[in-house]
Amino acid sequence: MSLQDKYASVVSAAQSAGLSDLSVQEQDSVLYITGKASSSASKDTVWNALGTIDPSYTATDINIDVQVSGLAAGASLTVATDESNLNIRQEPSTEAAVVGKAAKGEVVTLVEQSSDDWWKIKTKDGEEGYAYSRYLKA
Amino acid sequence: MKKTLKIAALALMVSMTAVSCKKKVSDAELTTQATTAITAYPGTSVEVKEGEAHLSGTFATEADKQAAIDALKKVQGIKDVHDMATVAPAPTAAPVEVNMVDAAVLQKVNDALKDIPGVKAEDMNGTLTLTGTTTAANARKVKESVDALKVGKYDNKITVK
Repeated sequence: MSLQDKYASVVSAAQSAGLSDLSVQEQDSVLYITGKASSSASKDTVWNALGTIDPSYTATDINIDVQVSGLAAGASLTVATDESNLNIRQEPSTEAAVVGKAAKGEVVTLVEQSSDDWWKIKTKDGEEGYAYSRYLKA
Repeated sequence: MKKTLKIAALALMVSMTAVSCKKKVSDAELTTQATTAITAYPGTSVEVKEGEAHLSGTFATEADKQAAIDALKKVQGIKDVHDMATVAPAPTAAPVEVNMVDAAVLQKVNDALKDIPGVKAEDMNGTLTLTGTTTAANARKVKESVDALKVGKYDNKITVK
């Protein structure tokens, strides 16, 4: 069974999620699904589809690189930490000084999507800095 | 009654003449018509010999080739189409760019693992290796982050409890 067949439901989820620049390619025994999502919800659709095939999310014969991108500055983001506050840092690094915190569920404003993993945000109190994008829902 | 027979014979003659007229369309003329029928497909050509079209060249797609064959079959006087044409191979997509596991990549992986206790990342002879025990939700976070780095095939030994 080819990887395309094994992960057919993930591929079809990606195709119907309205991703831009979607590519599905098998290379060196890994199925790469790459695309850009306009919201966290459409990214989650693809990952949820994987979850039904690989509930432990440990498969390495599929690589899903679907990033939420193209968000406009000023977009509202919801903090989606598990429990703790989200650190807002001076630089896009876990080593950088914490300049502010945002609580779970708090709505912050996007300044820019500096990279896939670090976004510059601003809280309603005016604290501005970099936060790890995993904990921000668009 | 005789008159009717005469008319029938005349009609038969006329129709036979018509048939023989059709046969008189030369191969050269048919080739011209056939060539016109497939002008939409550059890189291909057709030649008619004894009323049979020989299609050759390279088509961009199988659908184009089939459309050309259908168009040739519609040309009056062509009895058959011999498909000697080929279809160009589909353009291969650019390969996925895979990143080497280096210090910068490992740093990004460790950033991703910072809030996920119990999971460790190591560079084992150029292959990223993940070990430890965690929840499925956390394993998904790890995979989301690691897949974004596109390091090729890595070794995921995470145990999900």
